[in-house]
Amino acid sequence: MSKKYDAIIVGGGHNGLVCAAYLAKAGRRVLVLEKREVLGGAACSEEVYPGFTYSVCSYVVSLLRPQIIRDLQLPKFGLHVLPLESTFSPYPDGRSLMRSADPAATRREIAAFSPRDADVYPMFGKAMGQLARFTKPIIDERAPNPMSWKPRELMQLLKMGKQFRELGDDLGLLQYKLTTMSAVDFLAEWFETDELIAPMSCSGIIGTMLGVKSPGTAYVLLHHYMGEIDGSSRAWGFARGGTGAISMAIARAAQHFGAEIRTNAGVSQIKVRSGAAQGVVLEDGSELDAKIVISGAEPRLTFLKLVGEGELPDEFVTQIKRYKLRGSSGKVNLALDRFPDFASRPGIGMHVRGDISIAPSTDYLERAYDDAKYGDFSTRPFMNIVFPSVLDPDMAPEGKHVMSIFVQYAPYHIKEGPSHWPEKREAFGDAVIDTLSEYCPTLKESILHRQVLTPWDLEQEFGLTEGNIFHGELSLEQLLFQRPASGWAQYKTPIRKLWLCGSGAHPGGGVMGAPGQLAARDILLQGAC
Amino acid sequence: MGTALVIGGGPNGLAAAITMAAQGHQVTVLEARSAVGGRAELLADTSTVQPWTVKSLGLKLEWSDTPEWRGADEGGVRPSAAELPAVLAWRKEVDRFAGLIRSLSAAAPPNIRSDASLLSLVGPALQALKLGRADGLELARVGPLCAQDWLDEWEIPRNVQSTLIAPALLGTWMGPQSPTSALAVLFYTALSGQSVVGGMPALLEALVDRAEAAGVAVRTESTVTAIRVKDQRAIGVELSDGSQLDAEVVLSTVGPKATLMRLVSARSLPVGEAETVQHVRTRGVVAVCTVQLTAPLFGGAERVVVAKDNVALERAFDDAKHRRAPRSPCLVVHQRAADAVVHVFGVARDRDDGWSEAGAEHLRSQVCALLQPHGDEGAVGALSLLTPADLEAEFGLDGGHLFHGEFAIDQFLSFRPHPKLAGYRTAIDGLFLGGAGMHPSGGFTLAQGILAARQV
Repeated sequence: MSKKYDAIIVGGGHNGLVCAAYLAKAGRRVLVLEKREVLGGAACSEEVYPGFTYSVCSYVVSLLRPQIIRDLQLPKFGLHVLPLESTFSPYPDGRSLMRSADPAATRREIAAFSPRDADVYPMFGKAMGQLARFTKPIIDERAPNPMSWKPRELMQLLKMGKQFRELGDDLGLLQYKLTTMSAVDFLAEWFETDELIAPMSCSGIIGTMLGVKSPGTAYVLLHHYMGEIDGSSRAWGFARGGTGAISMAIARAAQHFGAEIRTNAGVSQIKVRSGAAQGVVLEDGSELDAKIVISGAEPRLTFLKLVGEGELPDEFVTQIKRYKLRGSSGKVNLALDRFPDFASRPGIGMHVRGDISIAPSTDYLERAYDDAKYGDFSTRPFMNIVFPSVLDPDMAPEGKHVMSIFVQYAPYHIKEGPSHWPEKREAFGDAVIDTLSEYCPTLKESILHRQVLTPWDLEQEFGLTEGNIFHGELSLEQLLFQRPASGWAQYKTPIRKLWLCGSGAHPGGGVMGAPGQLAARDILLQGAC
Repeated sequence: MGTALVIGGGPNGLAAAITMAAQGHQVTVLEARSAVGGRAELLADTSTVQPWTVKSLGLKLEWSDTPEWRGADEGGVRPSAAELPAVLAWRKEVDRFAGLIRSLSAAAPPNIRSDASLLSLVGPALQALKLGRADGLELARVGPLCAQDWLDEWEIPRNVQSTLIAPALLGTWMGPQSPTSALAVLFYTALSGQSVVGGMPALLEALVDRAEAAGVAVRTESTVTAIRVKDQRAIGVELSDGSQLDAEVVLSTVGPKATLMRLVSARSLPVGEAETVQHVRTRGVVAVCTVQLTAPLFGGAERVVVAKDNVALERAFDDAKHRRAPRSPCLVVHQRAADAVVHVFGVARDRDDGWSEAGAEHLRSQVCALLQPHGDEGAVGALSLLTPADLEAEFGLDGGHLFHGEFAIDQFLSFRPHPKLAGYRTAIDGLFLGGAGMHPSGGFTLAQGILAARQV
């Protein structure tokens, strides 16, 4: 009996949609099932407060693979990325630092802190750009499997080895340091000013339960030099209409190619018979069959909840149970009556047309981490802020603003236990607003509405287990051929006909779309459906 | 064969001297202090001394089983956890990797720079193959973990974990929750075996005897102030009294930073060479205490970690990390017949408020207060304490770090202290590095001096 669908994709997040679009484009009959009413998973936009659109969770885009944008013709389906123009860091003493795409202006700004660092900054950018060129193929290819003797695997390993050799001694060493050192130690080899090192280092901790001085955090710095928007590298961007607009563009592309998408269709179980996936059971009890099932959900949720331990080899269950999630961040979205000026640099200038880091010193960031280590949210957290309404006036009524605040640390595992987060939600929101008010004195009186998302909320609402925004820590032992489990990093799973396509698969989290694309590529290459 | 000077009369200095003397060099050891011994005075753990070094040096020493680490806190000394099934299972896991780690510690690290002969990679590659690919992958998985996560996987209780983790942290700049601290614990545990009978004093005595027998001249109270370099070649040293000594080989066992940034003038180094060591991370986290005892502490247990659990260790590390006065240090204690060597973990070299006599005095009283409840009244006698700042000033330890440099993934094996220096050679002909800041790392192995001397 022929099945109605070639593939059922669990979860309508951006990766699930990318995977669906590629499969549909290749002529496969695809069904995407999304639990929520809104598509996009954690990459969604919602009008939570009338007239104001929030990018509820994910709020910037940089690594969305250019090839995906081209292949799926996303601009045709409504994708419009507005580049973030600067990175701004205010300090409590009234000074501030803005780095922008203008090298001369950036030089002047940094020179006010340290002329030496101003000289080094472009050199650093150049070195990182070279490393980014080495690393990019890694996120554009599936992870090699060092356990396999297959020619394709060996060739890929050899190719990586050759590319590494071609970097030469100095860059090769730099790459090694970047992969193993802490963000602060790595940057301190280049720069002397803590005010510069601190905001630069914090890109290494976003989404992880680590501090800027924890080994292994330097690697993510590179992501800042890998972004590509409209062909220009090193830019972060914001999608017109919010991050959800990206998901919607991908969804429209998928539908255009023939994929079927259902919302309010939560999957409660992946049906397995004789070690092979048959289809899914929906929350309403109905069943759907397909040749293959592809899960865009996070691995622990996929295997331990939707599949069930009983269907899986013990060794694999152990690996998945060990898989570290440990969400560490929250999100506060504000609807504002008027723009809240930064005391150190008032007005709506270039400095608020990018992202803003509250990361005044490396010690400050470590103290924020210390709170989290012992099971509390940071009383004075690290924050990364964007004003979407400044870039895209449609996000709020005229003259009014939305403010997107990414907050760390908000550890999922608070000492009272994660289910106690709802009681702490407002106190957490207050800590954020109180800290921010030190930089924006008029903030409090301009707030019309406040949405506070704790890691508990991210789990309950978006299926992000333990509130981890990347579907699993981007730590060394959970990358490449070990994501999500050693030997199972190529989208296949121990269950035949069950595949992974979410951020819990290589190359990991962020609005990249790469896991979805690479999964679809392997599924098609292997003729799985 | 010509004349060789060894800077530093610590265990590595003596070992290097003995090795070079056996090669036919005429060797003089220059020690700044009034007696040889160097770090031997600061360390007590001989369990990580690699037996091959003792054999290579021809030392006559006996070995005996090493007593287990015991945990202690205000509730008293905890029962030994050595027989705990979870600990036994974990030890078995460590044993799987011990062969590779010990063999890596018995040779110069593989040269990973592209001008290297691929032959140097053959040995470790064979050892790694012996492990099998599955085990190799497991090593790649475990290495980046934090120690606590790794031991959690083995279901070892957290207060037992702290006794297994603390001794390994002394060589790092990490807490139990720092990523890669699992690797430090793995290395320390894999390197540990039997201990030298008579401990560090017996080892030092054997080294001194052997050096004497080998015809090594030892000059104490001879502080080297500069390494003389001519045409990028070491030609000798200058001493603090202004006198100069000539030599064809200079082997320094003080820290790589002290050697290349202080003893060698910047003018003698090729461009960019000083920078290679400048960034080596050497943040000391340990103060060393010697305590006279009139009666045994801890019910006579020889090796004790005074820490309630991992949180206590982590908080101690936080103090060092934030460069503040230690609030709650943890202790790693080696108790001997009449005294104890106590490593105080969580003590920053560079305190923001600086080290003062009052600061050191306060730390002494903290150590006293932690020890006293574990013995009879009056058991704790005179207590001398060296802060990391003292360790740097008096023993030439880079950054006051007990091991001349932090154990870290980017500072071990072929990366210790820096890939350009990992082969014990420097950019200056005839100048070698053979101190604790070199490979192998992970514990006191006595290997660096010998491996460096073999490069000569």
